[in-house]
Amino acid sequence: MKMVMPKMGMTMEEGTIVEWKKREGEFVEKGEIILEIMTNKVNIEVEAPASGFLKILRGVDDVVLVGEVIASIEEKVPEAVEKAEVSRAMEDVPWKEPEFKPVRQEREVVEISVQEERTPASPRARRVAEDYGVLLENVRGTGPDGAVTEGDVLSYVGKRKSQEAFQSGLPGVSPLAERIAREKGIDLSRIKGTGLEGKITKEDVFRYMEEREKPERPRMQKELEPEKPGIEKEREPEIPRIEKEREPEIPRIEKEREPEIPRIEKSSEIELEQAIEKPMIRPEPVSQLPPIQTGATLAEPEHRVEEPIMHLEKPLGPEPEGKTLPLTGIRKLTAERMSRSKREAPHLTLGMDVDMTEASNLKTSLAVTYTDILVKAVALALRTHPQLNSTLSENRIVLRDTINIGIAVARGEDLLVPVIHRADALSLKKISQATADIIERTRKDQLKDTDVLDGTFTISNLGMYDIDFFTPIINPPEAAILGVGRITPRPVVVRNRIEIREIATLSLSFDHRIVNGVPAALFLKEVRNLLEHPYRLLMEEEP
Amino acid sequence: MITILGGGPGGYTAAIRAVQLGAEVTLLEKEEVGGTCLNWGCVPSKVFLKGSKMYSQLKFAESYGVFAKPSPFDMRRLGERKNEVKQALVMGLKNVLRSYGVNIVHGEGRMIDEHTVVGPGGNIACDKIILATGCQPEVPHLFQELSVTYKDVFQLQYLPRSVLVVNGGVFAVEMAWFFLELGSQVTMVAENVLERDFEDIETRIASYLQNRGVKFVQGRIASIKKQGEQKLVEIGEEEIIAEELIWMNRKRVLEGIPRKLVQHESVAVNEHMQTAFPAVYAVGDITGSYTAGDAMAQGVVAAEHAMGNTTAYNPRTVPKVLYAPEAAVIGLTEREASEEYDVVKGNFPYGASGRAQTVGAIRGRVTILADKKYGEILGAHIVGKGASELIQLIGFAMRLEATIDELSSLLCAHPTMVEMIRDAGLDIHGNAFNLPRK
Repeated sequence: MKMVMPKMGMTMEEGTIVEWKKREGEFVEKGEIILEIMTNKVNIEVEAPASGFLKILRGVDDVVLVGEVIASIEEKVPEAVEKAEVSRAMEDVPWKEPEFKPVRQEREVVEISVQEERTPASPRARRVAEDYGVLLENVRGTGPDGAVTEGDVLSYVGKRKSQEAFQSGLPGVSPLAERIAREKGIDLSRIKGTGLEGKITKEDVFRYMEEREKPERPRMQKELEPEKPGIEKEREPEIPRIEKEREPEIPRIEKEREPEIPRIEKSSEIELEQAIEKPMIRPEPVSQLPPIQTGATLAEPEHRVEEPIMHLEKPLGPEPEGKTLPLTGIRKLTAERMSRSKREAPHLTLGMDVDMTEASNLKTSLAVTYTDILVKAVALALRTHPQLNSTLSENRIVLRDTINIGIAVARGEDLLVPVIHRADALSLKKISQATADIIERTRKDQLKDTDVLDGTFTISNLGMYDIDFFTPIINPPEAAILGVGRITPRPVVVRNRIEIREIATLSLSFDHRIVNGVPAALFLKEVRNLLEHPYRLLMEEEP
Repeated sequence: MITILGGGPGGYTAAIRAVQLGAEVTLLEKEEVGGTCLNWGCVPSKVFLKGSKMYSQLKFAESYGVFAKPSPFDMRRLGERKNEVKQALVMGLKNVLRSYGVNIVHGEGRMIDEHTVVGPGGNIACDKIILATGCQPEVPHLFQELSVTYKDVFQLQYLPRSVLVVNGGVFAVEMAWFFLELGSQVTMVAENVLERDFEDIETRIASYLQNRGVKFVQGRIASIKKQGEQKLVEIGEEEIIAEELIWMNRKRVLEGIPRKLVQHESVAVNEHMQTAFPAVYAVGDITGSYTAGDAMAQGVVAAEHAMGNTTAYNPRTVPKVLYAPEAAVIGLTEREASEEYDVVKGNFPYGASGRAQTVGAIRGRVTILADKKYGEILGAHIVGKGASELIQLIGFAMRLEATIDELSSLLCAHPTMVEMIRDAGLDIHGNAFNLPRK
């Protein structure tokens, strides 16, 4: 029986295998937990769909699309395992000729597999295929009428063996290079080997480390340049006024920016995106949780944060300056998702100032947080702007029928996005309870898989870290993300008079494949409206 | 189209490799293919050392129950044997080159620009040039008449009772050892006994030589006078009497190579063996190396790079061998290693090896240097019987970037010499099987 990567939520497209709890060839009971997968940064335990012998097809750290086969549960011990066992025991057990099995039995094997039809093959090919545990259907025949010959099977075995070796981890890598990489926490799959047959050598590891350090500076500039608020801000006032014919201009902005984006993807660290924290109203948890501060620094916090943590011995040879941390677990997933997002989704960020004076009053009187108010406001705005509440999948824009708001939360070094489901249907009070609960559980690492799945829109608030403006990266496959800056008293013109108001800058990054500038701007305007007149949030409250 | 100047180990290896990669190759050689190595160096000296070893071993044979009295040594017969071996190898090499379709031109070549070599038959236009002109004996003009060169020594028709070996180095030590084993009185005039690669074992080798009766003298030769059958050599304060003066000095052959490529009497090259002209490569002695092994390794690199590969030359993994008294080194010396690494060292004395004891080769030692942090094998030096072959295993491990732990996990037949490598590796952690607990 084939076992596939399960779909654990509407938006789940792929999962990472974290750990096989059972060994290859081990007997598993139906319902027993046999592996752990990770999706949306939450580990999910997966049960065996049937009883039988486990044959593992995808290894740890493999990223597998939903529905792809990751293992099979066999009725008998997989032959590959038997073989491996035998060869492991070779030292003390003399080699045993494989037992001859009648052809009929092999037919049964074939029948269990996908195809029923008997593949034309020479008798010797059948024998060899059986010896190696090869299914003849998988072998490309070169004999008469496409019959599989002995040679075909042997070359298939050879080929398959090398592929297996390649996939099963770190093939061409010298023991020394491997040891150095392990200690330096370097992902060998990112290194191109220059040794014999592409083997990764010590020099390759050092060169990789050197190169990884080098492009740091130019990359940071690249990243920051297009994100200067000015660029977006200058255009911003225009956008609402742009009519149909002006529209093409917006894509052109993208065109110019696009070539820059791919450069970011290769780098192993990415911008630590954003984190959210309940501000002011409940100061205790903030002070109790110092790690969040570090996790929430913008841009390249990793290096600054790491340096005091890591202390390595004297650098050796051509080894570059600076320390490294392994890119694993959530860090790795964040890296992959963020770079994928930047690579695939043409980002456009709009900024808008919002007067939060009224919201601030509401916050105090109702004892809720800015985050709660933001969640509610965004959820309501999404109702009237369903395009922003959509996902792109295979050339189709799917307008999602529920509004599930993700909140970026820092947990130590990690960034997680727990989700408030159906936020638009919840009262502000309910939202307040839900966010308090979910942020608490995020901090304590008690999130369930359902807590992080199926988000349709994300809010990232960096205001409490004195960030005024930033350009958040879209959390794929969502269409947009709202960044929230610091709320500060600023002089503004109200009815021709200068008043001091509580102002915050919102930044909306959206996927230009899904939404154009105008609808995004209108959505942002709607959010502003709701925040500036927060009583509307309450009006919706009791149905 | 690649033209190669010189048919020694560097040149012919480059030629074969280039053809294997699809090139059309012309090889110019003014003397014999095989170069110094096959005709006047490695190969003849190894035949000679075989002769002297058999002769000297008769002295030790009694302890194994063999009683034989050596007759006077016949240099002529040894010379014949040497010629047989040489001819067999030269013929074999010519066949190999022919089978590859290498166009061998007999005569001198001269490079006139990046893509042109003037040969005996006129200009040869080519895409790439590989310079492998090697070296020649060098004796000051004044002393030429009363000296023999390292080429001439293999033509000697008698066994001199005393020799003065001028200059040091592996080749010189081997010749000194040859005469020692045959019972001649040997004096060496040398600044250094061996090349710098051998610095960790130089003292040990020098003491072997001294114990066998070699006299070391330092200084410049001021004059050589004939005194009957012998020569009176004045070196500083000292006067040495010897029947033959053997000059081991070698001079790089740089004629026919543009001056622009030459720096400090050698051709400057990068890691791909490219000279200042990107289409021109240089390998072997003219680049400053001195062993055939280096030349061959460089020849492969030059050919592969000339054919568009990115191969680079790594001198660290080329072993260097002294055949008698037998010793070998590879990688970094202890001094070099300690400049760059936190070095740990494993030793194993020959006397503790079962195999070494059974063959009566109890003098010697295996030393392996490793990096403490990652266990990288940094280098090794071996003195003793079998060193010339044992070192290759360490070279192989280094090339595969095995760590010292992998090298020490070797499974050996017992008793064998290779066990000493494993135990020297294990000794780093004090875990050698054949040494007392540390």
